[in-house]
Amino acid sequence: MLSVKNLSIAYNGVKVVHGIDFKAEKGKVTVLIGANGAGKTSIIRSIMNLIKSESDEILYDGEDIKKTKPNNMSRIGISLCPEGRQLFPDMTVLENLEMGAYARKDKAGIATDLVDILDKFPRLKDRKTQCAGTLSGGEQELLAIARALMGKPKLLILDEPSWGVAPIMVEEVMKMTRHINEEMGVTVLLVEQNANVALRYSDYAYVLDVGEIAIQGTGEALLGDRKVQEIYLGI
Amino acid sequence: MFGELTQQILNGLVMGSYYILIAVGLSIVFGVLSIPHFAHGSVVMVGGYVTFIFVNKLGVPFILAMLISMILCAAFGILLERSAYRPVRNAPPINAFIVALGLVMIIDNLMTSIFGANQVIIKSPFKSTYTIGSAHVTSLRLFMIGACVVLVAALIIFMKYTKLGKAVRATSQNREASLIVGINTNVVTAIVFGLGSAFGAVAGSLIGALFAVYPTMGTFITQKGFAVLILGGLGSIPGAIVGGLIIGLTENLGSMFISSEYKDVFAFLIMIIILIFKPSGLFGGKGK
Repeated sequence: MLSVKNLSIAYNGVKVVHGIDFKAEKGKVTVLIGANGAGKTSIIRSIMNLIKSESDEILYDGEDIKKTKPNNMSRIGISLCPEGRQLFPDMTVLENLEMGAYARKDKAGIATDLVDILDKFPRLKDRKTQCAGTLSGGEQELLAIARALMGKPKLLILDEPSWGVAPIMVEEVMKMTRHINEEMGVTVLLVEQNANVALRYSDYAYVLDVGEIAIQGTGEALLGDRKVQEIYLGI
Repeated sequence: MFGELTQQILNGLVMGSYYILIAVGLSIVFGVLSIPHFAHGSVVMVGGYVTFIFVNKLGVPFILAMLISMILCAAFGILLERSAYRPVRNAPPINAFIVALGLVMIIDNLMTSIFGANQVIIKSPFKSTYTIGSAHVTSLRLFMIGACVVLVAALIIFMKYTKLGKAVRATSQNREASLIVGINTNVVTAIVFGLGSAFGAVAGSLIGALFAVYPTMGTFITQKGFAVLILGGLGSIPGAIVGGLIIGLTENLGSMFISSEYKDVFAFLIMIIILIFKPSGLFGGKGK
């Protein structure tokens, strides 16, 4: 579904990501794990073309998206749920969801999806006329995911969904991610610092270490990997 | 005394409407781009001159001339953004600040060399006078209030209920998230500059008929506009409305009770007093 080849990112001449390759297979949950500053968010931002980067190719559904403008990504089926959530704080929950469907033209479809999504996220339904800025961290994360889903994505990119979320809500957010993947058939690319949780909910994982891919494998295999345990799980 | 008070309140509402028309434009521009658009006053001035040419020189009816001025100014505003502000969008904020000051100098001096430094007055068709209680008001002044109410109401409806209006609000709250959900933020930017400048053209046309237009008036308009904006809270439309009314009324009531010599002092005095108690302005949030 998404295939990245030889991606490098530099800030002011300093390289932070050194020619990495990775794939997000169709129908799977793929995770990029890495500590703070490993370059995870930079990678996502460069796929979305929000920052400049260099690569051989970034293929999405067989097409090169290196030149696709960020505001056209949702039109081709890529929704990003960004780091730090990036909601519209002074708009209501309902308005935020509407904005998620901004690029869509099928009014009837949007209306049905809105009802479906509110049913899937009962916490948001209870607060639909509340401003997004007044929600708790976990609720905001759910809203950001719901907003991304309103774009009817084929590929959902979740950047650090556990950021600023209470531990009990982290599991809920991850369960929701798995549910989106399995029930709605959406391919998921997950970026996480919280390796323990992320590995349990993913099919395939890449471990980033200072801008390079150090280890890769299935989520299960990496959970049992000594090196991963030492570095990221603190066992 | 009472008659005088009604008169001054009425005058305050007229000036308040004028300030609101200016500040609303500044406010939506600031909301979306976070730049101090100091050249806005110059756009208002140009709007006045366009109407002046069409009415006084070409004999076009006032309302039609004002509509033409709105369209031309909208285009002018969009052009300013594309040619002057966009190149420095990702530069440190001080650059946009300096660009804005430069624009003021260029536009004001260009207009002085074309039209001369003298004041011109736009011929107005609104000559009748009405008496409300013991106060007198010309139909031009009533038209100023009416234009402000209609335009601002239309703007609020646009922002609250239309898809494009929501995109404007979204962009002002989070530019990057707007891109992610598929909003073309360049289009949004053009819309706010177009709308803000068209509102400015109305303000310039009406003040030109009520008093006069002259090439250096822009600086003064911008100062007042920002006083209103800061008082009301940067980027807030309700703030611009309440701020405009407060400044319009304070000026006129201050002139009545104290002295008209200090008319312009009152605007800034009230701004400073309000900022002491509410540093983010009346409708300002916790700051961006």
